[in-house]
Amino acid sequence: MDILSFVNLIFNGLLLGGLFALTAFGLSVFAGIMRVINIAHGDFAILAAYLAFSIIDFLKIDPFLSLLIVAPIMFVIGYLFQKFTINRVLPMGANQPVLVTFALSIVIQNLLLLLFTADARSLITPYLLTNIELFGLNPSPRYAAGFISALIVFAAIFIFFKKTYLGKAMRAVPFDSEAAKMIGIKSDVVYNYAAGLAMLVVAIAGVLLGITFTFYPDTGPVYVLLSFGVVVMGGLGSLKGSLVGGFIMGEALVLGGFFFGSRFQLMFCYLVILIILYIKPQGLFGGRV
Amino acid sequence: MEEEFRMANLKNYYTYIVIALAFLASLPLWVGGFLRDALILFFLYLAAAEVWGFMAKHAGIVSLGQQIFMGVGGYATAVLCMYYGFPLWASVIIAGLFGAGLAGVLSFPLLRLRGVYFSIGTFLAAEIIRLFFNSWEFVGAGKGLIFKDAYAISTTLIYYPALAIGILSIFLVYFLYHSKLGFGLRSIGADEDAASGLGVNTFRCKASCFTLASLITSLVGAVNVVHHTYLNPTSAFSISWTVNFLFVAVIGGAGTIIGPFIGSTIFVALGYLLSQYLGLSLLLEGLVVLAILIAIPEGVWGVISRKLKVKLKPPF
Repeated sequence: MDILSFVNLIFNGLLLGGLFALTAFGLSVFAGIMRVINIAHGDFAILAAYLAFSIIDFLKIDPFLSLLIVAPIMFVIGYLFQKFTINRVLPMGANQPVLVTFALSIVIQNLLLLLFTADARSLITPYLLTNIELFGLNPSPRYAAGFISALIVFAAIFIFFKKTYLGKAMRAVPFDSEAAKMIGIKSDVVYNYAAGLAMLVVAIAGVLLGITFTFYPDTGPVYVLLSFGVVVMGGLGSLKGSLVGGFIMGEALVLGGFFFGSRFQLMFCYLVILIILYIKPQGLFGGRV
Repeated sequence: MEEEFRMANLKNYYTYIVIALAFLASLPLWVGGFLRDALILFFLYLAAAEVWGFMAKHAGIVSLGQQIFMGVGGYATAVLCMYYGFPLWASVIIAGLFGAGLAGVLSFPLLRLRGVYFSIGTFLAAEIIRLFFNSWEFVGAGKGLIFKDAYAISTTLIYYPALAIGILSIFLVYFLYHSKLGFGLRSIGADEDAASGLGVNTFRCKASCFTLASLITSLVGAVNVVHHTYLNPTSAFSISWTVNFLFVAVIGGAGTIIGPFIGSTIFVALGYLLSQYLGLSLLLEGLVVLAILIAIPEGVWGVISRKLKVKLKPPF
C-alpha cells in the first residue's frame, strides 16, 4: 500500500462522510426542533429508497429525477407522521416518543419486507460506475454525488432557517415555546412542517444511500445508528456539527475497513460511537440549530 | 405500620396462592404437548416483559438491547454444557448469573447515558455484540450452534424452569417496587435530577435494577435455547426479542404485574395463528403497539381496572 492509495482512501472517506452527514441532517432537524430522537429515521430513509426504486422501475427514469416524486411523498408522510403520532404522545413524557418511533421502525421494516421481499436492491445507474481521475486520486462518483448533495442540502437548510418566516419559527419553538406561543406561533403546526422538512431531507439521503449501497428492508437500523453517532459527535441539533460528525464517521468507516477488514468495519464504527457517547454524552462540539 | 399491613394483606391470599401454584405445577401432567409448548412460551415472555415493563415504566430505563441477554444467556448455556461438560440446568443458572454480570459491566458505559441516549446505547451495544458473535469461530460464527445435549429434554421438564422464572419475575417486580431500591427507582423515573439532589444514588439504583432485570432476561434466554436447541447470532441477538417484550408489556399495561399476563396470552395466541407468516406477525405487533401507545397508553389492564373500579395494591 503506497502513500497515494492511502491518501485516496482518506479522500474517499471524506466524500463518504458527506453522505453520512446528509443522512444525519434529517435526524438532526428532528432532534433539534421536536427534541425527539426518531428511531425510525433509518427506516424512513430506506422507505424513500424503495419508493425511488419502484418509481424508477415503473417510469424508467434517472434516480436523481425520481426525487421529484419521492421528496414530496416523504414530506407528506413526515407531516402526517408528526400530526397523528408524535404530537399526540409528546405530552406523555420523554419515553413515549422513543417507543412510538421504535414501533414505527418495526412496522416500516416489516411492511417493506412484505412488499419487496428480502432481496438486495440498488438504485445504481451505469454512469455512476465510471472511473474518475482527479489530481492522481480516484474519487468514487457515488460518494462524490453524496458529498455534493450534502453541501447543497446543508446550504439550502441553512438559508431556510435564517431567511424564511417558517424557518425562523422552527428555530423559535424549541428555543422558547412559551414566547413563541405569545407571538402567535402554533408549535404543533410548526412541528408538522418541521417533520415534513426532515423527511424531505431523509428522502434525498435515502435515494443517495440507495445509489451508493445495496439495501434490504432491514437496513434501516444501520443508518439510524450511524446518523445518531454523527449527530452526537456534532452536538444535538447542530447542522454544522452534523457536517463535521459526518466526515469523522466517513473516515472511521474507511479506516475501520482498512485496518480491521470489511467484516469488522461496521462494528468498529459502532464502537467509536459508543466510546464518544461514553466520554462525552453531550457531543463533541455541542451547540444549537 | 405499612409493613404489618402488607403482611396481613398477603396472608389472606396465601391459600389462593398455594392453590394457584399447585394448579400451575400440575398443568403439564394433564395438558397436551401443544399447550405445554404454549405455556413455556407464555411464562418466558411473561418473565422478560414483567421486568422490561418495570424498568421502562417505573425507573424510566427504556432498554432496546434486551436481546443482548437473550443471546448471551443462550450462548453461555450451550457453551458451558457442550464445551465444558457442565450439567444442563447448572449451565442455565450460571448463564443467568453470567448475563447479570455482563449487565453490571455494561451499566458503567450505558447508564451514564440518560433517556433516549441510553435506549440507543443499548441498541448499539446489542449490534456490536451481534456482529462480534457473527465472526467468533469459537461459537460457530454465523452458522451458530446446535445444542445437541438439549435434544433429550422433554417439554414437561422445561415447563418447570419456565414457570419458576415467571414466578421469580413477579416476586422480583413486587419486591423491587416496595423496597428501598424501588423507592429510589420510582423517584428516578419521576425526576432524575430531583432524586439525585435528594440523595438517591441514581447510578447504583439504576445499575441494580438493570442487572436484576437482565438476570431474568438471561435466564429466559437460557431456557429458551434449551427449548429450541439451536442458536445463531442473527436470531439470538435479533431486535425482535425486544419488540416482543415491548408488545407483551405495553399491550396489557407496562409496569403492572397483571398487564403482561394479558399481553403474553395475546402474544402466544397470535404467534400460533400467524406462525406461517413471520414478517406479518412482527408487522401486526408493531401496529398494535403503535395504536396502544397513542390511544391507551395505560394498556388494556389499565383500562379494565379503571372501568371496573378494581383497586389493587400497586404494582398489580
